[in-house]
Amino acid sequence: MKPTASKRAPHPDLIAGIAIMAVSGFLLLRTPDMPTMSSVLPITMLIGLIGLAALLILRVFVAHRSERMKAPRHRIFDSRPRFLGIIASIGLYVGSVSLIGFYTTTAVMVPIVAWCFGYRDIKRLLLADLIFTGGLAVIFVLLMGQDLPTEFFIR
Amino acid sequence: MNAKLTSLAAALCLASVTSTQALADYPEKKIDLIVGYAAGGGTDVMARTVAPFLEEYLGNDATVVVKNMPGASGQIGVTAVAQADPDGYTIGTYNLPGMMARTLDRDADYSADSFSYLANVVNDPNVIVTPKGSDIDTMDELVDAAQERDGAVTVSMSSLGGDDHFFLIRLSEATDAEYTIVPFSGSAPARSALMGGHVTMGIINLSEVVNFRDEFNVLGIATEERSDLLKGVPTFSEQGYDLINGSLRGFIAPAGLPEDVESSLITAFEKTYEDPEFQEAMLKSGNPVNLTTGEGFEALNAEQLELAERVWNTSPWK
Amino acid sequence: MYGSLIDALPAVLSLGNFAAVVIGVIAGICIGALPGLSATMAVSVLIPFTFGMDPLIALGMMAGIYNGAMYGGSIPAVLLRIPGTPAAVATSFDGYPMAQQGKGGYALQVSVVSSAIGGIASAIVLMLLAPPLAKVTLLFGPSEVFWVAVFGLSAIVFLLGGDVLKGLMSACFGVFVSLIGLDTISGFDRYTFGHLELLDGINIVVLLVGLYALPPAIALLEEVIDVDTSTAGKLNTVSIWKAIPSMLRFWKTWLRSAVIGVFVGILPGAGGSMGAFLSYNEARRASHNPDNWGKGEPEGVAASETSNNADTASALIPALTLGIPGTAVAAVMLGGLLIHGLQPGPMLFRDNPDIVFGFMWQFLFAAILLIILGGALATNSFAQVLRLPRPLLGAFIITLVLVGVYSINGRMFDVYLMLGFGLIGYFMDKLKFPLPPVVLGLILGSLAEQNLRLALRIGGGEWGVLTASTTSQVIIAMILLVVLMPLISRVLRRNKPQPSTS
Repeated sequence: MKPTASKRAPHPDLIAGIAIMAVSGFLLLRTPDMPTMSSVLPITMLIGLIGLAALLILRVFVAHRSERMKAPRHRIFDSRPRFLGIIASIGLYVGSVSLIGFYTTTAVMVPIVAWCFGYRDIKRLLLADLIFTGGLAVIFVLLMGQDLPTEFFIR
Repeated sequence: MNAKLTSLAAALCLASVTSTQALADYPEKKIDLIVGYAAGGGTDVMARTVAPFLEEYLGNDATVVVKNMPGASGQIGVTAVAQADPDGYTIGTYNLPGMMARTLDRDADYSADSFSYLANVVNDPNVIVTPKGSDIDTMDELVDAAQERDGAVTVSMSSLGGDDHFFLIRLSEATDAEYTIVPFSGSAPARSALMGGHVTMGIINLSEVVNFRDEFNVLGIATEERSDLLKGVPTFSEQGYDLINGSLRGFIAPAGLPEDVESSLITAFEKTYEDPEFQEAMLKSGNPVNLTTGEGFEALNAEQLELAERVWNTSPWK
Repeated sequence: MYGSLIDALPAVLSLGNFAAVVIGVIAGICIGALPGLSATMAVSVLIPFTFGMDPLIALGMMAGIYNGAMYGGSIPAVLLRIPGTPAAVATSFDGYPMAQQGKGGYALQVSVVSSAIGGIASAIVLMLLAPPLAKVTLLFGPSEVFWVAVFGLSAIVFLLGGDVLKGLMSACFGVFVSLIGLDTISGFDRYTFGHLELLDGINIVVLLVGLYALPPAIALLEEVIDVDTSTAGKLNTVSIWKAIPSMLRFWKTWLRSAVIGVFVGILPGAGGSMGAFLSYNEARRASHNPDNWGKGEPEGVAASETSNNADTASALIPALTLGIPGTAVAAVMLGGLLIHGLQPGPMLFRDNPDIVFGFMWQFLFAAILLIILGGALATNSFAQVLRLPRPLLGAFIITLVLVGVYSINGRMFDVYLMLGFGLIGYFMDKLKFPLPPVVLGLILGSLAEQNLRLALRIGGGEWGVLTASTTSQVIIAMILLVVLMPLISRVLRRNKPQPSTS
């Protein structure tokens, strides 16, 4: 981890704590219309989460000043562009599965994604793709008779 | 074989001419039978038992494919049927009073008018049971115990808003007593608590007690006449309580089905019902059969809805 | 009764029936090894196909799949830290560190042998003790089940990890997630936001795959350096027959975990994952060197795997005798029996002894076959998966988990939900929030809540009902014992002069 980055960016625990408090708070607002017995445990859990998140945030500030408290700073991303790329490809994949069908999408996307993320041996890539997609088709169509999102060309 | 091929070819030609003519040859492709529960449940077993007979009696080399769409106690599946094209190629299983009760206690995307009522096949009446070791083994003793103190009698349930729950509410009215409902999530823990004597009594169905006569005291059965499956068990009416109730399982299609399709489906169900092999298979899988088709089924549904509404208005379960 | 047991044997040993068990075990291992595909799903997928089959063949395949899948889940848990089934979460605690130390092959062998032992113990118990044990099931009403759940939750203390604050947050999150869906006692839905798909609660497979399978798969793609995977693929195995003698020292763990697994199996609503957590914890508590646990202690793998296989046949004890399935898989199997016109209950044993007892034999054979088939498959084939280039492996895993999650209920909603959990899991992983408390909270949170409320309702609001029965008192005593034991032993150790330090 670069020391310069740690000075500039806010502590990850801080962001996590704030996010947890925000979400728990929002969910807490959805609770009052429930009967008492139904809402006791969820409210306890949500308040617990908010309290713990507050402690987490507090810990970051205390650790900032005193040497004895520690709030370990963990690195989130190995590579931020790659992470965003992965999230984008998963999103694209899921969207495309429901639009143009499972097998087509898988056969096209798996080699492209693997290529983009660093595996450049085209011949083996295509072979692996064939075995993988074919294997899935054998398992799900022939053996299990399970319907996956249907292909656009047989709908 | 050859004749089959020619007839198939003829059917294909006809199909390409006009769609109205094609309907006369219903079915010409596979029929999806949507089950709102996971494979292996009671309703699923019924659907899978019925499917081959339906194929046989629909003729035309019909294929019926059972599709499980589990979730939200059957509501996801039945909603899918309600929203399907009314062409006869999507039919579904239907449970009463559950499906109508869901229109009251949840936001349902369907109503009683969303369906063509094909056939109700199973009528599984309620029975009241107590654990074998219990002191209570007649209705009189039960009613005495219940009237002594409100809520003294605890009743295990597999869910809220089902046939067992409705039965309890009617029982409560008929015996003028308050019972404590203990709603488990699913029938396994409910049954376990009942057999273990952790609750006073249970309301279950005939099919669940047939093989367990030694484990339960059966206090009565909610039918008009005694059942052959449960010899020696009196009905509630005999004992002075007017209680007739049960779980109904049948088949529906989306509303607006073409008339000829509807009638050929209903005829197929009627023929299926008359098949002794079918009767035997259903009995073996624990489904007491009782056929009501078409308008009769629709009337039955209306009756169940009315009951559910009455219960919902007087004592809502949520 | 034991006479009919012997009478049922010849039919089971016929070629067709035996082949069904073999196929079932192989299929089960593969299904279990794929994250997202669980035993429940595999058995329910099989049910429609068994319609036209001979009942024994169908049941043999189910028995094989159930046993195979419970072991198969440990393969990716050990090799990739991705539990293939919920019950394999506890296996990954020590299995994955072992694999990182180059002892992955040994971990898998321990896992397969322990699984087989758990399965064999369970099958024997089913054969010999079904009727008396079915009565034990009945001792457990809501208040007793509540205490069992509390017992399980006490394990959270050991799963919190280094950062207690974050561990507690994970646990709260898990319990909260378990509460989503219809509250069956009041009839109100909690946090479903109008989605019917959420009414039945969050399926544990969806959460598990999101938290455990997606983040490592993303990491495979994210890492820039293409690590040479050829060394990781080496499992350093010796023949399984040579490895077994070195495992005999686990006999205490095997015994303890088998008992826990069988016991959890016969309780409705608990299931294999809870058994695995409980027995992992008990084994760790009994261990001489609890500090090694979580860092590659083979005994941890043995504890978890014995127990999750020991609930297979035992879950059928109450199912066959009382019509009360102990686990979700057993419930589906009951449906499979019904399709063949076999209704559970005492009549089943009287009318169809050849099938019931044959089914029991099949469980035994499936468990034994696990050693041979599981050992061969895992060490020779699955380990090769690790040799795949990382970007390809990552893409494959992501695709597989999507298919698996989709096919649980055949809907995209679960996939979106899983992706959401995946994102949460990714950040939890990176910020060092421990994941096991989430899973334990999900399994036990609503179980404890529901049964507490049911017990109070039965008792008319009196809290005394919770401690009224002898069974409850025994469990409470056990909880106190395991909570107080470490304290007592610490005091004792302090009073004793320590030879090692002085």
